[in-house]
Amino acid sequence: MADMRELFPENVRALLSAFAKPEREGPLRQAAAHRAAKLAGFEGAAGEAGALPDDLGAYADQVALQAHAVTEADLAALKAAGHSEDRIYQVTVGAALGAGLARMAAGLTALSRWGRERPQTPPQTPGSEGAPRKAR
Amino acid sequence: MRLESMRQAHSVPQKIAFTLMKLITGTVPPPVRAFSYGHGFFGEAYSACLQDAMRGPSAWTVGERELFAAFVSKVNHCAY
Repeated sequence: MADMRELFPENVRALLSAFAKPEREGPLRQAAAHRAAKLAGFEGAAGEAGALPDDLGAYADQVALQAHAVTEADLAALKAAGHSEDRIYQVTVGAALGAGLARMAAGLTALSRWGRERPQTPPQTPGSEGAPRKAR
Repeated sequence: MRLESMRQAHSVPQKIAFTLMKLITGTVPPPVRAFSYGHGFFGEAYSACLQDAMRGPSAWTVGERELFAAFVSKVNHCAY
C-alpha cells in the first residue's frame, strides 16, 4: 500500500510503516490489506499484491465489506482448514485496515477536490461591495 | 471474543495493564486486546492515530468527534 502514503497525514504514514514490518506474517497481512483496499474502491491499490489462499481471501473480503456478518462458524471453518489464530488475526487486521484506509482516502480525495473547485471569493452581501474585509 | 489467543496478555506490561483494567472496570475491552496482541506492527501506531483523531487539536470538539464515531459505528453495525 505504499502508493496510499502521500494521501495521508504523518501519523497514518507511521502506522503504514509499522504495518509493513516483515515479521509475524507481514506479507500475509499486507496481502489482506491490499486486497481489501482494492475491494473497498481504492484505485491506487491496483498492482502488487501477494496472493491469499482462497478461504482466507473470502474471509478478508467479508471483513472488508461486512465485518459485522462474520460468525463463530466462519472462524471455526478457517481453523479447521489448518489456519492458526495468528494468521486469522493478521488477515482480520489487514483487511480492516486496508478497507478503512481506502474509505479514508476517498474522503480525503473528495475534500481535496472540493478545496480546489469551491469558489475562491466569498459571495458578496448587499452593501458590502468595496468594503474592506475585517481581519479575524 | 472469537480468537482464544486474544484473551491473554503477551508481555509483562500488558499483563499489568490488563490486571488494572479488570480491577477498575471489571473487563478488558476486546479492541484493547486486539491492539495489544499486534502491538508492534499495529496497536501502538493505530492507538496514536486514534488519540490524535479523537483527542488531539481539532476544529471539532471531543463530543462532536465521539458523535461522528458513534454514527459510523452504527452504520457499520459495530457495537464499539
